[in-house]
Amino acid sequence: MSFGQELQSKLNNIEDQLNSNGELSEKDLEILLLTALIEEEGEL
Amino acid sequence: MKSQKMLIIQLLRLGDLIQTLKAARQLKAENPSLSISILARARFAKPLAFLLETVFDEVIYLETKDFIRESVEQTREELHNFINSIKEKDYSVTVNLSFNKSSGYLNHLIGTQWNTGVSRDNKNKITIQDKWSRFVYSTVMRGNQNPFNLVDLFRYILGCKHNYLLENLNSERKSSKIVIHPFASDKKKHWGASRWAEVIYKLSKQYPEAHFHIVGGNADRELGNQILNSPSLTNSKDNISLEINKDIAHVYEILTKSMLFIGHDSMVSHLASETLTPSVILSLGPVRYQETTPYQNNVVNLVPKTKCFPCTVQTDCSLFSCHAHIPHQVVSAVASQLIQSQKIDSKELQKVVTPFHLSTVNIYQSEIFDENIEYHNLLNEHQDATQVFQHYYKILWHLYFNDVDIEITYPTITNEVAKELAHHLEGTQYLFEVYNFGTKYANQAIQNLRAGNDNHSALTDNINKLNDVSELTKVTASNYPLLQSIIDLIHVNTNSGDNTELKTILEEQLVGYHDGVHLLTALHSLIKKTITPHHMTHSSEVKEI
Repeated sequence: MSFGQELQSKLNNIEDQLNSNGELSEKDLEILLLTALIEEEGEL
Repeated sequence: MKSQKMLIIQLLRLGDLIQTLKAARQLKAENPSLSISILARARFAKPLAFLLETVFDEVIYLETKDFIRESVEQTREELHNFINSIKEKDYSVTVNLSFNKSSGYLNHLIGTQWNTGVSRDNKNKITIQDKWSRFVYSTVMRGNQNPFNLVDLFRYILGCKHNYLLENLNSERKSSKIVIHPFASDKKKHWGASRWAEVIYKLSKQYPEAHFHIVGGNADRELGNQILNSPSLTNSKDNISLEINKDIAHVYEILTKSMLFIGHDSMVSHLASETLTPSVILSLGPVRYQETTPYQNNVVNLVPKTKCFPCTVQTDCSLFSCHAHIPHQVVSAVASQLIQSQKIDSKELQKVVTPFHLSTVNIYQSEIFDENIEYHNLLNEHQDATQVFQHYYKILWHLYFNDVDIEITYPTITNEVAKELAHHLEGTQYLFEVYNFGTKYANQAIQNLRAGNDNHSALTDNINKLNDVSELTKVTASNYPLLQSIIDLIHVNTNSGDNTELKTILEEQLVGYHDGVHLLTALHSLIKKTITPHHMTHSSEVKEI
């Protein structure tokens, strides 16, 4: 699995977790942080 | 006693870093024993290290690519270790001044006892604890109604009370250098080559000894060469240096020895204010001068009167009307006056520039007070409705957030503007009623909760009505656009706490709507007094609750 596919898979799990009204773990938030950092690198 | 340690998160660009530096310098001056660190992206903070280290006790560099490993899990682990290394520094407070996604997660994950600014919690919900950050999030990010400079907003978030100005230590200011930064990140924000060539031509004729330093980054090389190779500058080339992709420290050094800076809103304009270089700024496209004017006294900001100005970053534009509305004749004349006297004399300006050329531009000159930076309109013209509301909002926000009464002056307006204000006076009445319903239903819902399970349907009914109130405020904003700032702020105030308990959420709504009622009462009074000399009619008096 490529880096991008692995990241997308983790993001899908996080979305499922949020949709079921669950709370995110610290690891989930770190994945969201990583995604935001990568996205913003391209925007800034 | 253990000294307090603060971490400021600033993950945006160079200009934002310099504005953050200015606010932090003020805080340090008021609290010399406070240790302040900054967390910033390495690619922006490293070139500015020479400045950042003059204020911050530590600069923590964030470099995304340094975390990247083969797998996502390994990468996350690297990021986790980085966050842990920050946690170990044992900060007592984190202040997030960036308002972007990544900083919100970081703010939460660093997890200091106190944090301000945007944070994203474990439900991925945005929470904002402090009032000024709520204001920035609700208003500054959304439109043209914010009356404050970003440095002031950062100062307010940090809790600064006074303004300590940089001392002018520069004895070499007499040199004949003029720094020009004719570039910006967006085409809408900068002039083309020919207008800049005209300004340089005019100034080089007037000041033959002047040496022009055109500074910019790699992406600016082509436009820089176009200016340099303009036919009008053929005889002046020896007096022009194109300084592309030089260190920021190098540009800073040139600025310290320069008699003038001219440019658009950019990092270099903020750098010029760090060196107290007299500056002329041309605000174009989406630039909101009141937020971005470099923070120093006597900066002259030229602001076009174009109807669509300021646009937004997303606006698609090929006409660039606002570019033509700052005539190069005005720029040259203003620059010349600044060189001669460091201030603008509007009467003198009107002698050397035609009314035609002055008719399309507002000329503002900055002055720093303890509360905030102010901009004086040097041509002393009537204010339009947006400017009048910015003035009102400045009064309201100082009172609401800082409990500071600033002197109330009523702007001079035309009958046309008075009509627009009268229309919004009706809007304040309508919104006042809506917020009154908000306080009523929030109050009733709290009573229902206290009464226990017997009142479940009444509770649901009141919560549904509160949702209706929220929807009604959106309709009000579309009919009365100048009330958007209050509506946005009250919306954020009633929705951005970190509470999950219904009672606390309802109490927050009660307080939020109650505040809205009071803000509207004050706003109504300001509008009424402004339009009274114009004999405008208005629907009715605002009632006190």
